[in-house]
Amino acid sequence: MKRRKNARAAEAAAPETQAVPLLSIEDLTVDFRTDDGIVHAVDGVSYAVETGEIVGVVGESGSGKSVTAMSVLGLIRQPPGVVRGGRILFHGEDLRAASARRLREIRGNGIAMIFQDPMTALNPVMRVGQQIVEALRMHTDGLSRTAARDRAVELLRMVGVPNPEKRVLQYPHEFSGGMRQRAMIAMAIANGPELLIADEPTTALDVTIQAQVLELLRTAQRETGAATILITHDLGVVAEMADRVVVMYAGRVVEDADVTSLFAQPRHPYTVGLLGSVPRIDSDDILASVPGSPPNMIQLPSGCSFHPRCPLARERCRTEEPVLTDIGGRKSACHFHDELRAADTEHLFAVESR
Amino acid sequence: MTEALTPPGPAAAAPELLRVEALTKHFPVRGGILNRGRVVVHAVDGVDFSVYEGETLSLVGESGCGKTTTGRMIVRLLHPTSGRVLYRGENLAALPSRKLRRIRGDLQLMFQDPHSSLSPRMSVHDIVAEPLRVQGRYRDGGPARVRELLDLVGLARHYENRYAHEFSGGQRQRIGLARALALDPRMLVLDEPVSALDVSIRAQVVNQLRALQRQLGLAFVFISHDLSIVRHVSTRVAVMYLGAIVEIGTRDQIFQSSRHPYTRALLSAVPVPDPTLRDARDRITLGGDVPDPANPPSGCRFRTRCWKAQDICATERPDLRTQPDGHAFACHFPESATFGAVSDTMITTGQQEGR
Amino acid sequence: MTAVRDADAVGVPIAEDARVAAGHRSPIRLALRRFRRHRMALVGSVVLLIVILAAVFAGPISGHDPNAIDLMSTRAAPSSQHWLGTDSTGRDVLSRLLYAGRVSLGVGLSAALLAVLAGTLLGSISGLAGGWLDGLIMRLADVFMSFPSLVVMIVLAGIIGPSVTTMVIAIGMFQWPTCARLVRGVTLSLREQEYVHAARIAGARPAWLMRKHIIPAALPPVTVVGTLAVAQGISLEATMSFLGLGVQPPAASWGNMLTEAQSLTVISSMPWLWVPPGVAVAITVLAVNFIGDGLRDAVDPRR
Repeated sequence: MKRRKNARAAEAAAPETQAVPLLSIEDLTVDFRTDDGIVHAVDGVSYAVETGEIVGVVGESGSGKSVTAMSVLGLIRQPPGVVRGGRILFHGEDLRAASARRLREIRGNGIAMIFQDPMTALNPVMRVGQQIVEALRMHTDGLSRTAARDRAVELLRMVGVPNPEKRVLQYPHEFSGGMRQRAMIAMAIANGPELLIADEPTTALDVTIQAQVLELLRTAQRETGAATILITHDLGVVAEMADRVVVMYAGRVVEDADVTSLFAQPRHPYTVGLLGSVPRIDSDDILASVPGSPPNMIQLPSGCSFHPRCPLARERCRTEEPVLTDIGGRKSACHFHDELRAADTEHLFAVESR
Repeated sequence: MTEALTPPGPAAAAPELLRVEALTKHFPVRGGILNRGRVVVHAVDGVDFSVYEGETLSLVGESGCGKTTTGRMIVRLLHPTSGRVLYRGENLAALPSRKLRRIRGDLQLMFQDPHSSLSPRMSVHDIVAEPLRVQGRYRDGGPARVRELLDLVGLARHYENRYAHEFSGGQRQRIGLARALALDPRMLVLDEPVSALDVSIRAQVVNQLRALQRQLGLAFVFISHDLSIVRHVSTRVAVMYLGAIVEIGTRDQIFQSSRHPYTRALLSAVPVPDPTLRDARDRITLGGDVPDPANPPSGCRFRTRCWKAQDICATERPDLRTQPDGHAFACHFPESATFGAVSDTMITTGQQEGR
Repeated sequence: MTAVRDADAVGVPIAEDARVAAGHRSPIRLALRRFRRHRMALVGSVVLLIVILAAVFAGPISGHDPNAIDLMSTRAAPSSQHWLGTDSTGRDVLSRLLYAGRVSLGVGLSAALLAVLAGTLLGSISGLAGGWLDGLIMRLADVFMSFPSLVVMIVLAGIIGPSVTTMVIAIGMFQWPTCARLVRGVTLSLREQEYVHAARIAGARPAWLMRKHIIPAALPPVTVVGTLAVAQGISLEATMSFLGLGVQPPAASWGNMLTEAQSLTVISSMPWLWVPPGVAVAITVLAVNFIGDGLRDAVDPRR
């Protein structure tokens, strides 16, 4: 009888059910040792993902958004990385304390991942169909090869690869960029994961292909009911896909809110700057710009990491690191988030004069 | 606040600076595995447009559309397979080399990648001064000019003795810009100048570019795949697909009343950072993938992904037809002039499976 | 307010200022720093320096005329008068050793220089031109590399007649292909760099590109190859002169000093005749090789 290994273990590990979020990252800290010093890639990051929710994690280079996600599945190479502290609770089970075997059970099964570059996830010397079959058979006992093959063809059809019976026998290099991404999504949802982590899944794709793949992700999410962590730097993608948004800067979470509230009324200066500096295809507004550049991750600024670039910065920002605080159903890590509530945020950052 | 960039065009007063006629570039590629003869990639296939003084013409399209190759042919980094590039009426290919060298100063390029566009072995001063030295213009006030250029792009003067690796991506792009401006060009080709930069830095550099354009009266050819930025910087826009221009017009003509199906699909595919518009937009999702540029479809190249394709589209390649208002598009069945704005809501005409 | 000026100076985090204030980190300076960290290279440099100084100040150090024949005391063992004894014609071994250093080092260096110059020129032309010229030059390089060097050098010496010049040319002839291949590789990769494109767009001609971009980029690996070529040249000279096909007596070279070691008697009972030149060659070649290793690490593109 076909049994899912994941289901068995989950029953054993998590006695409670509804109150606990599907995934909860608590105070995660990850450092990297480099020739120039220690990079504090992730510095006390906490956020949660509920069942069936799409959480968009937004940040620029050095924000730590990818490292956080990779830590969930234990994909950080140690050395040079060092996971220094924190808990990663999946169904209440701490993945950091899990054995290698347990992690292998969860990977591709309870939690699946999609990467920016599909060639990273796809083996170039193995046929695409074969790779999906392996993913299936690894997590489902007693699945025959034929049944797995059929399922692989089904999956390719589901993700919109034309001629799946033919394509299933091809190698990754025979697929176009968009199709490879679809194949990777097929592999990821093959075992019906509860959580999908998508790390910049469309960044390398053309805009029309991106639209296709995003629609596919939306459909996949709707049909499987999987929660999704969507990591991206593109605010447009976040606005279109996410239920909730986590904004990261310099290894820390600076804001955490539902998507509508975040865009309508950002409560962190970085978010304000980011939203103001992104050009929109449906308007001609002048762009505001955030001065300076993302900080040196080896020697972060004292206090609030954003203060050197912040128009609201004052003495307290230099000395005291702000804590991610609850403010009525959302969170912000800014001493003066209140001032942003009423402020005319459009003119917070320098706007080109005429 | 809306922009008010003077749109030159057939009726405008601005003189024509550059004209491109039937520009074509084919790259021969060694035959495939079975070596069935030489394979030719049609990177650019018969492109025509003009650039007027002081304006920004954007070339937009997805990968493989030929916009970068076109840009490189304008500055003579690549030689066209056929067609002409005319600068102020003179055919660049027909000029004697001495005159061409002098004219080169007028047409410069800014690169996309901040890491490979600056020599790791030269100081910032030398990088910016190189064009001057090449043209023999350094001896006469060179050092002062370099400092002036650094001021122009917003970099501190004392940075001139540093080396490129000490700077961030945004700063490196500014150095590249200073170098491109060294010879006092009349026109700058900008090849995806901000695509490789972090989102919050892009606005800085884009604003800087526009300020400089106004200050120096430069014409820009802005190459990008990012339509949102294109909307912010352009006077006119040319949309390219698989080596050809499918639509060209003023910024408003393209963004408010586009006529070519590909342009419509492209505009509808761009995500907007506004969650309230999520379900309200006209969504056209194209099926299939971009065809192989070595083997483009017969007739209209877009027909394999177009939801309106008919028989004639396979047999007859549509010409770029120019309307009286200067708006041109190449389609047998163009979209109607109304309901073309990006923010309009309209029932989508659905999708079609690609081949 | 105009578009932000020196946007990055506005509140630049302390770290960036500190790093930038730490001084110019020019590529050359960084390379020198890495070289200094390589202990064997430093040892090699010191040793080579000593050898060079000894050769330069050969006269004052030894106090003898290297060509002064004294048939009264041939093959004399080391004494207070002749620190390393005398050779078969009574000449002072020490002074011959030191003067020979000039010849051997000179040959090694000249040959390497010839190889590097020819190789760099041909390699960069090959890489820039492409097409049939590239093919021609590379086939030529292949030909030179596949010939057994020693045999050809012997033949050459037979035809032209043995001399220092013959040797320099012969040795250089076999070392240029390595350098040419290297420089061609550098040229090919550099040709696609956008900063080279930028120079071309500004109107730079191939000569400018070679001078300002290709050669500076090729210099680090070429220096390494050139250094090793010097070592190779020194040992090749020793071989040739040992066979009597190189430097001719009475001029002294470490190689032809070693010809003394062709009889069993000398080898077993008169070590001062052949050990010094042998050791000299070995030490110098080793020292130069260590320097080459250090340079290779210093120049490592994994910056």
